[in-house]
Amino acid sequence: MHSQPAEITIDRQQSLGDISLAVRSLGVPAGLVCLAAAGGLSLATADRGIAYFLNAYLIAFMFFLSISLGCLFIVLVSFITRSGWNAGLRRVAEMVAMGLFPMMILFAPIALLVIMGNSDLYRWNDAKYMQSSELLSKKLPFLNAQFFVIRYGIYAVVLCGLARYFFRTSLAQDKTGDPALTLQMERTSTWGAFLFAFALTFAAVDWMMTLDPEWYSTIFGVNYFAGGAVAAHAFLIVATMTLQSRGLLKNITVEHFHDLAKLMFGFTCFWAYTAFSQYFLIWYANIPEETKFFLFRQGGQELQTGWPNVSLALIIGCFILPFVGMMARGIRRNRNMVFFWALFILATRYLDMYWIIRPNYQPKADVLLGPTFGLVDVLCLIGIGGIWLGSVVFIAGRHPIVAIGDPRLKDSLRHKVA
Amino acid sequence: MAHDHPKAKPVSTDPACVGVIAEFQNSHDVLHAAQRVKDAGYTKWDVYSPFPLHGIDDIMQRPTVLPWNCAVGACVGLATAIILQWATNGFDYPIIVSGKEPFAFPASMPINFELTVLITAFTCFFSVILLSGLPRLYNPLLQNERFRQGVTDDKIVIAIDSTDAKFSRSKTADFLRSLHPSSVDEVMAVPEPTALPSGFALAAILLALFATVPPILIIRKRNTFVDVPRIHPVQDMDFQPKFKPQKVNEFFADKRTIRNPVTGTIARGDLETDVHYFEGLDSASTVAAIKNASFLDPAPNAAPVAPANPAAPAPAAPVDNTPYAKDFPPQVIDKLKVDGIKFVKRGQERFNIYCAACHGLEGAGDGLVARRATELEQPTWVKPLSIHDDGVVPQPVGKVFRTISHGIRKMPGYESQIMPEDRWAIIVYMKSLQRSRNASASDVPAAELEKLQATK
Repeated sequence: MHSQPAEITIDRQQSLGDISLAVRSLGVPAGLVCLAAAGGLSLATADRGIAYFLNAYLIAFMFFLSISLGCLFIVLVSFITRSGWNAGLRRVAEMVAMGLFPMMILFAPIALLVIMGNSDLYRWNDAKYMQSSELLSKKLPFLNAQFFVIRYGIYAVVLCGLARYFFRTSLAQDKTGDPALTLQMERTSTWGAFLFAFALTFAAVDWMMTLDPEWYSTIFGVNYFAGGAVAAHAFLIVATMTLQSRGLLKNITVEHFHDLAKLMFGFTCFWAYTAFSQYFLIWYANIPEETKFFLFRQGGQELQTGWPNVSLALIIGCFILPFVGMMARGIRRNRNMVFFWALFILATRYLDMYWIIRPNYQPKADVLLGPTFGLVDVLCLIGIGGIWLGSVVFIAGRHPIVAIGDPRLKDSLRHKVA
Repeated sequence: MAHDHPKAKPVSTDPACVGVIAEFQNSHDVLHAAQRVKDAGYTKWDVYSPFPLHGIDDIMQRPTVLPWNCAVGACVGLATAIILQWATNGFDYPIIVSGKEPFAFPASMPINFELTVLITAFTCFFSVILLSGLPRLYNPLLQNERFRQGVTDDKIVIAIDSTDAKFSRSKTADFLRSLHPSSVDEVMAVPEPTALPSGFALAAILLALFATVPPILIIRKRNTFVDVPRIHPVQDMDFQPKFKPQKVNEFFADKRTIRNPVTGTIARGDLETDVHYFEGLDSASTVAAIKNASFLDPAPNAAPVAPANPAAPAPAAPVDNTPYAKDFPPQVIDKLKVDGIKFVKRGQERFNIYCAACHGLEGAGDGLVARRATELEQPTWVKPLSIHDDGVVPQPVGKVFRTISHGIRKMPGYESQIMPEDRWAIIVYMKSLQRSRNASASDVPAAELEKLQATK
C-alpha cells in the first residue's frame, strides 16, 4: 500500500447502545399503534376494509422481510466466499438478519387468519373458489390452510435458526477471537445457503405468488431474492452511513462503500434480468393463466386502469435509472451519491412489492381497481418498519457493532479497491 | 549507465536521449516515487511493472476516454441490434411467428443485450490497444538491458519521456536519483531498424500459404462429387422423429402427413365477402340471385358436354346471365383518387409481366408466345384475342376481372398469381390502352400537344 499502513484502532465497546436512537424505545410501541390505526382506518373507510388492510400489511411485510433475508444472504455469502473485505461490516448484516425474528412473528396474525378460514388475502382459502376450476382443484393438496401454516413454521425455524446461529457464533468469537469459529461458520454457510434458498423461494411463492392462485412463475422466488439482495445492500449503506454520523463504524471507508455500491449495482442488473426473464417467457408462451398477471399490469386492450404507468415506473425506477445513474466509478465512490442511490433503491423496492401485491386487492367483481395508495399504506409501512427496526436494535443493542473477534477484521479495515 | 549503451554517444546536447528510467525494487518505493514525480510536475511519464500495482492509478490519475468509447460502443451495439431486427423482421420481410407482431420488442431483447455486450467488448478491446499506442514494433526502452530484464521479472521502472516540458537530461536524472531507485539510466534513441525482424518474412509467407488452404478446400468441395453419404455426427438432430410434409403417415387413413384445414377454414385475411371487389360481380344482383339461380360463368376450361350425336349441330352458345359488375368497385375508385397515375403505372407493370407475353405490349394479341405458337401452327393453339377486339371492348369490367381470375379458352386463371388489387389495376390500364386507340387530339393535355406538334 502506498500510504503508510495506518494504525487501525477498534473501539471494543462500541455498540448501538452507545448512541441514542429514537427507534430503540419508540420503534415497537409506535409500530403497534400505527398498525392498529391502519387497521381501524382501513375498516372504516375502504371497501372490504380487512382485505385492503391485509394487502397493505403484506406489502410492507414483504418489503422489510426482503431486507432481512438479503442481509442473511450477505452473511452466508461472506462465509462461503471467505471474504475479508466486509468483515468490518458483517456484524451490521448479522444484526439486520436477526430482524427475521420479528418478521416471523409479524406473519403469525396472517397465518392465524388463514387457519381460521379467512380468504380476504389468500383466495385459495375459499373452498368454493378452488372447486370452480379443475386447474385450481389440482392445487388443493398444496394450497390448503393446514399445510400453509406448517410451511410457515418450517420457514420460521430455518430462517430464524440460520440468522441466530451466525449472530450467536459471531458474538462468541468476539470474546475468544477463535479462528476455528470462522471455519465452523464457513462450513455451516455451505449447506445453510441451500436451506436459505429453499426457504426463501417457497416463502416468496407461498406468501406472494399464491395471492393469485391460478398464476405461477417458476422464477418468482429468484426474482424476490434478487430484489432482497439489492434492498439489503442499499439498507446496509444507509444504516452504516447513518451510524457513522452518530459516531459508530468510523473505520468503514469509501472503499467499503464503493464495494457495497458495486454489489448494489450488480444485483440491480440481476433483478432486472430475472424480472425480464419472467416477463419474456410468459409473454412468449402466451398461456392464459400465466399472461393474466402481466395482462392486468400492462393494461391489456380495455383494462385502462393506470397500472401500466406503475409498470413503467417500475422498469424505469428499479432498473433504468439506477443502472445509468450508478454506472460511473466516480459516483460509486462518492459518499453522497451512494447514499442517494441507496435511498432511491429502497423506495423502488417498496414499489416492486406494491406492484406485485396491490393488484390482488379487487373489492368489486365488476370494476377493476387502479393503483391506490393512502394513509393505510403509510401507516403499515411505518408500523412494520418500526417493529422490525425497533426489535433489531433491541436484540443487537448491547453487542459490539463490529465483529471484533473476526480474524479477517484487520484486513477488512485496510481494504482498498485498487 | 552509459556503458550499458554501446551505441550511446557522449554528445553535448541531447537530441538522441529519449528519456530517463529509474528502476525500483519494490512496490512501496515505486508508489512513493511516482507520487513525487507527479508532484514535480512531470506529465509524460509512465510506470512499467510486471504485476498490477495497487494504488498506482490513484497516483497517476491518467484521464482516459476508454469509458466513453465503451459507452459509444454500447449505444452502437444496441442501435445496430434494434435496427437489424426491425429492418429484417418488421420492415423488409415481416413474418408472424406464434401470433406475435413481426417486430416485437420483448423478443428482440436477448439480441439487443448480446450485441450491446459484444460491440462494447470489441470497442473496449481495440480501444485499449490503440490507446496504449499499439501495435508498436519498436520501443527504444527495450534497448536498455536492465529495463528488458527488470520489468519482465520483478523490478518496477519509472520512465520520464524526453518530450516532457520539464525534461532536462541531467536535472531529470538527478531528480530520479533523489527518489532512491536502485539505478537510473538514460535511454538513447537508436536508429529504428528498417530491416524486418528475422523470420518475419518466413512467417508471413507461411501465413499466406496457410490462408489459401480454406479457399482451396472450399473450391475443391464445390467442384467434386461425393458418392458417400455424409457423416451424421449428431444422429438425433439429423434424423428427427417427426413427419415432413410430403412423407407417408400411416396414422391417418389417407396416409398424408400434411393435413387439410378443417372444412370452412379461412386463412387470416382471406375472408373475401365483397363479391364486387373479389369476384367482379354486381353485389345487389348477386345477393338476389344467390339463393335460386346458377349464375356461374360458363366453365372456361371444362370440356363442353359431349353431344349424344357428334353429327348434330353444335349447341348454341349458352346464354351468359352472370351478373357482372359494370363499374369499378369503390375501393378501386378510391385507390385511383389517391394514387392517380401511380395506380395506372402499377397496372401497366403487371400487364407487361403477366399479360404481354401473349397479348402483346399494346394488347393487340401479338405477344411473343402468340406469334411463336402461330408460327409453329400448333393445332391446339387458340389465338389470344386482341383487347381492342370489338367483342372485348364493350365487356363489363366485372367480366374482364373474372376472365383474368379464372381464365378463358387457352388462357389460364391468374387468381393465385395476381392480387385482386393488381387485377383491377391491370383492367384500369387495359381501359386506358383501349381508349388510346380511339383517342382524339382533344384528349391530349395542351402542353403535351404543343410538344408533340413541335417534334413534328
